[in-house]
Amino acid sequence: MTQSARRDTRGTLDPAPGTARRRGHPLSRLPHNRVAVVCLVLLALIVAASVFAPLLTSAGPTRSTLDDAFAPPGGGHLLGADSVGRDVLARLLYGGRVSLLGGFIAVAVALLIGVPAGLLAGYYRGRLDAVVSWVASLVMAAPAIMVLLVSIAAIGPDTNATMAMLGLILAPGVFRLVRASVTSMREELYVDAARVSGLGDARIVRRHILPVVQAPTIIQSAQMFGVAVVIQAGIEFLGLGSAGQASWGAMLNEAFANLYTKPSLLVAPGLTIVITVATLGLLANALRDALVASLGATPVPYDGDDTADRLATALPQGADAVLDLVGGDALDTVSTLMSPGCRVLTVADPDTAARFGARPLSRGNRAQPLGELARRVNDQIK
Amino acid sequence: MGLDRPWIAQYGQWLSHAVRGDFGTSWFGGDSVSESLVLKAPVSLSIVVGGLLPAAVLSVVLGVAAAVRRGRLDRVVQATAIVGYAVPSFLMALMLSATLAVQLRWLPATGYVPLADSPSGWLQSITLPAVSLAIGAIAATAQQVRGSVIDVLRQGFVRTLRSRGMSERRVLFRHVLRNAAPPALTVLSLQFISLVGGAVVIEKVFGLPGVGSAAVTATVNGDTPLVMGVVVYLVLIVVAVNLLVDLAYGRLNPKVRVR
Repeated sequence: MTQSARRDTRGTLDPAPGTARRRGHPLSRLPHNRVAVVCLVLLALIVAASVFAPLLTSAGPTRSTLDDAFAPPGGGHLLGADSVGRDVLARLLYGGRVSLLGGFIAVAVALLIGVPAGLLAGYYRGRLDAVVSWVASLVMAAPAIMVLLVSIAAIGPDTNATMAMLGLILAPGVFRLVRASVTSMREELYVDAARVSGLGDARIVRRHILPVVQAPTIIQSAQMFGVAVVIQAGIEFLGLGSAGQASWGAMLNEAFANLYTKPSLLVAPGLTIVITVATLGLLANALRDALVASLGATPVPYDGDDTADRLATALPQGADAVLDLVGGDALDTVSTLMSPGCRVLTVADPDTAARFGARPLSRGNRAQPLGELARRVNDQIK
Repeated sequence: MGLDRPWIAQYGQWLSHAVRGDFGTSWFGGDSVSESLVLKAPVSLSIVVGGLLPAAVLSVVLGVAAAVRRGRLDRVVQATAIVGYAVPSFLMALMLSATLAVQLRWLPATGYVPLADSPSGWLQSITLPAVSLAIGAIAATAQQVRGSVIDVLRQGFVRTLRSRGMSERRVLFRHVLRNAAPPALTVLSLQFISLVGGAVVIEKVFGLPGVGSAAVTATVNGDTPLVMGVVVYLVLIVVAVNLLVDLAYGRLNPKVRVR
């Protein structure tokens, strides 16, 4: 499976404790990723700016002062004013509330429907899976904005209701992702191993399947949030959002109406949308990189005379299990028995291993029945 | 109009007329829905197809080049993907319209000229809308093409072909591209459908009398027959695109052919 698992552990592999690759929960690696940190800080700023809008500006988002129409940036209006003299900065800040709340609603609805449906369909398969998958591909086939237009025609222009509808449209994407992860998990030996060792369905899902589904779902959520912000801006641009509220899309519409007289009105809402969505996209990419790096159970082999010292430094790095195993074959066997993300510390010397709480799995464990081996590995991880 | 009858009866009547090609008349203006859709569809399809075709060619070239060369070009394609994701097509349209059409007056900012009236006028009227749709499509598709070409290049049979002395060009064009094509085709078909959605907003920006602007007007007015007609038009497009993609799969990959 991994490179380190294939190599002979005796003597040749010599990872200093600092260089031994740590693979834990994908999110635990995020603070090390500069892009991710910048994105998270930017997002926090955007959220804070819209939540604390009343503290940041005294101007109202919908209060118009006709004398100030098309006021240039600076002075009374930091970012200028639009065609009816409304403060652009205030509209931007308050508009953020509409966009962020909308994105949140869409993602929440998509997750609430997609995750349970995906888990059930992927785990139990059968007729349920067939029906839900069929519905999902049906919903995915239509262009989102058209479906939203039809729903607006039916229930009227209400931004939050439209975003809930968007969540419904995005749910099949989540469903497919979760279902695909669960389906591929089911085929893994370690899920069989868990079942053989007597774990119930609920426990297998919680311990072995949910952790694997979690990371891709978070990535998808960041992406969906960006899509929701874009689609919402489009709906507001068409004038189909809730009436009378300041929003980034409505600001673009205002800029569009004055495209010949004051095209610079495009800049503020346009830039804000692009920065918000790009941040979400880059965050999703950074998360994906972290996820790819954390896939697969990683045996961390240790060997040699100073094993005890190494173990003392390696254990705090978070090995989930210590096994006394030698040789690539044995490592491969163990890797397939453990869920991705678990760290196994293997020690060649049974005595040393015992001192660190490892239970012997016996050498040449190939001869051992699979169920027995699996139970022992699971005992270790508990 | 029979609005007092149960909705299932209304739907039944609509359906029985619809299968015979009669989608009723608009509640606003009283035009025949099917006639006005037939009139408006070419406008929408012009900008969608006009955007997608160049996008398909460009994104395949860019994606393959990025996968084979890697390096700087690869980073450019990756960066474009983020830009394409973050800049909504209608914002791109607004920017293009504000600069190229309104300020520089290179191309018309609004209006549509039918192809039959004047081919050059038609081309001018669809250029900006098509380009604004294409940019997002290129970003998304080039990224996918890059990914699937890299996946195929990693496979064992590529190494085998190279070890048998086959030229790199032949490996790429005869074997890698054919195997990388199905995922790229899927993305293109999804892009087609999302461009149809994007066209709704683009048509408003450029004042084009297409299906999208009809759908928006019908939504605002609550013009149910027209909304239903637009949905049927969409379903037809989705079915047609999926059928074409399935046929293309068959041409590319003998394994999926049905005997």
